[in-house]
Amino acid sequence: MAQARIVTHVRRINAAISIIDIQGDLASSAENVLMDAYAEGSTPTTRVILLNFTQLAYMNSSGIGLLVTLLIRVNRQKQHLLCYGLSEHYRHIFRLTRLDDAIRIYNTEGDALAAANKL
Amino acid sequence: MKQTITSPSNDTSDGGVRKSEKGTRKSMERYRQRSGAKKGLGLQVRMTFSYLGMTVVIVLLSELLIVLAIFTALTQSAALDKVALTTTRHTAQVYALEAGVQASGATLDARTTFQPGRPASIALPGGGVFQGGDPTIVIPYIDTQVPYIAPHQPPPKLLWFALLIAPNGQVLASSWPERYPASTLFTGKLTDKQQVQLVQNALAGKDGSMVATISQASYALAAEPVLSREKHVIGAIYVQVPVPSNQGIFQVFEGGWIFSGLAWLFIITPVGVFFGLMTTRGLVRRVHRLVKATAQFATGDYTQRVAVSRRDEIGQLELQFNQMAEQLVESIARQQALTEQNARMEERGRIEQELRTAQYIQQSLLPKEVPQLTEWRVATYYHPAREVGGDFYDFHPFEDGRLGVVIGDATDKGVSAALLMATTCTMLRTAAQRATSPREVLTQVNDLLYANIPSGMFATCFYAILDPESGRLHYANAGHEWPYRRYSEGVSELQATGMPLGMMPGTRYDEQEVTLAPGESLLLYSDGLVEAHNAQRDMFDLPRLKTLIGAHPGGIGLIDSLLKDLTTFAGENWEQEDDVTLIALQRAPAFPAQDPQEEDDLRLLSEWAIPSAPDNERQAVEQVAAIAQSLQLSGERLESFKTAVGEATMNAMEHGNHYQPDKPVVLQVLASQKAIAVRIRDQGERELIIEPDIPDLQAKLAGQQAPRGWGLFLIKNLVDELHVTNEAHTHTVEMIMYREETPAEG
Repeated sequence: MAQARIVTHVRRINAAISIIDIQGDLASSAENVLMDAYAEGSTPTTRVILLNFTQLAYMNSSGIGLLVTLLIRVNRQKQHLLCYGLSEHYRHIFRLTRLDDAIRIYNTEGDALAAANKL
Repeated sequence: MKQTITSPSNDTSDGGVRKSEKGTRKSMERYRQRSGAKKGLGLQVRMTFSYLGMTVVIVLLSELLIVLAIFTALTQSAALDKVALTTTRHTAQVYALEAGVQASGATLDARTTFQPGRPASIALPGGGVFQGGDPTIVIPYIDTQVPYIAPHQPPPKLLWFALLIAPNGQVLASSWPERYPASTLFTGKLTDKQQVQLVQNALAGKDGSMVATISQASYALAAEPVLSREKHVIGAIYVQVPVPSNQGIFQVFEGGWIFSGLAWLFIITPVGVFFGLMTTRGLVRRVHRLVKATAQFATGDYTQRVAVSRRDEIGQLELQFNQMAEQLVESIARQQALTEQNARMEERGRIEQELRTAQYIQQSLLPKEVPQLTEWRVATYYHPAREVGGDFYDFHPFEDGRLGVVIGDATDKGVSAALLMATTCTMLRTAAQRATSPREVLTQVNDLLYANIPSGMFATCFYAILDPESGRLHYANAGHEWPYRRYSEGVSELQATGMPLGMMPGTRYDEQEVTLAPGESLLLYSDGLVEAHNAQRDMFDLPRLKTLIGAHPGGIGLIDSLLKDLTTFAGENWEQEDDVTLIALQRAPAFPAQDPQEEDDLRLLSEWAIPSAPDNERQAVEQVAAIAQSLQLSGERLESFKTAVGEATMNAMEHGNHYQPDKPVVLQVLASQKAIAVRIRDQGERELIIEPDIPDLQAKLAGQQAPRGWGLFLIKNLVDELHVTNEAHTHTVEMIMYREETPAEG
């Protein structure tokens, strides 16, 4: 596997909400990094995982596959997966793939957190 | 930027150390003068006198103590009486014995007298009591010397005398004839009864002695009978010796004491002096050494040390002196090192500041922005190896719309190269304003430089004048690297010959011409790129550069691509050896179809290959994007096209070539008036990948489909047309994107 060109950072907003900041490329090489970040951000009390895409540089179909994998794990934990900071092009990709149905898209972190608190 | 340069004469860093040393020496000198440092000889003399004085005092005190002890003993006890009595008795016995010996027969011989002037004798003087006596007969006394007191002679202080008495009581001889004359009866002269009794007893044959007080004075009295050979009493000896009083004892010993005291003084003085000198010699010598070493130290000789010979107080002082000297030397050395370090840092700071200034000036000579030409794209890269360098590049816009393009390299590195670079740049700009061709420009600058720079210095230079409208490029070269032209069929060099600028006056420069067609690119570079070495000392070299250019579709993206290749070749820790300068020019690809019937025909614009490796599809995306942008494809359509290219390239690398680096993916970019197309060809032999038209997310979430498998779906949905072709040993995907969005069909 090629060297991952992704960097993640996990923030626990509170017991129920965690944010995963994603910086770089979301491709097949990012699998371990992304899953490790989810493992770090997901606690027994976590109900919502937010994906911060404001610093996403590139995403291909493998990256979309990783998001699907992440969704499977999130659903298994009966958690919600939200995201924000997605460019217009990748929102288009999300629409094409119907990922926007499974991963709600928000414009800002504040909007995403507000929605998360209601869940 | 104004620079303040500190001249060496103003620099007090080193002077500060010297000042410190001088100050130390001066203060020590002043202290020495104030304290009146005395010479060792004075110390020795004083110490010797001290020893002498102590010795004399001790001796005298000892003598006094002894005298006092004896005096006390004698005066406080009866020993003195006993000594006097014993002495007196003994004297009387001796006199009696001698008188008896001298007596002839039974009577005392008249010759037995007290010899005048000889107290030891009891021989009478001539003309004494016994007439006819032999005055020459002298009987020496033993033990005690009763002085003979001659008539009219002042009596001694201690009045002791001896009498020779006949049996009839007549004084036969007297040691004090004036007081006790001969021929007188002893009873008339000896007034004390005890005296008389003793004599009478002695005449009776009984000796006796006693201490009696007569006239308030103590005397030791002794009387001895004088016996004949037949042991008959023939007379008596009477001796009277005063028992010394305190004053008397003192009077007795006074002279002796004085004499002995003076004697001791005369004896002890040289001994004391000798002892003092010998004792103090070593001590004073050591002090000498310390004084000398200190004085040397004060003059700046810090090598002085003293030998530590003993572990006494002077030895500790010597040791501490040495330690102090070492510490002082270390302190001075540290201070000096610190001062030197500060000076070096100051100097380095000054040099760095000057270099920054030079860098700023050099940067100001370089173009602030790339020229904006219609149908042309220009990109540059400039990175000196040090703060300043010898590479240069420039653009000279002409009034008629042409553009002069310059790239060059001044000899050497650093400041000298920067100065030559500045000079050459200025000359080129000036020459470009007057000259009409690259040859003329180089010819003028060559002669000017030769006349104005030191021999051995020169600059390479490639000068070209571009006509943007026609694409014609006239160029001449002064020893610089030949630029590369990237065109659809491959890569070629723009060759032209000529000596570097400033090397030889009157150099003739070849001038050549080439026309750059739409889509073609030009790369000008300096030797810092091709002469870069990796850790194994392999050189980047021209063949590698040519291959890389050929593998690239061309355009301004070529610079980034080459820099990435350079980093890959040289490694992350590459230490740049020489300045690197790159200029990339590309004539925008034109939609070649002029005939309306051919406007939909796709014409090949560029073709290149990319090794099959994970993440290499990014490279394809960027390269295609650059071309697509130049063809005015933008916005979401451009992004969609890029994503589609990336997915198709990744598909080709992964599924077609199985990520085998020796099986590259070939990309072609084609364009027509209406559309842009990318063909991606891999070497896989496979059927068309069957994917669901619409991947089912829910099925994937339910685990009924693999999470992946979105590639072809995305391609189909992101481009306007998708064509897949299988040929012998190749698999080609063609994606077409119209420049304008077409209404959805149906």
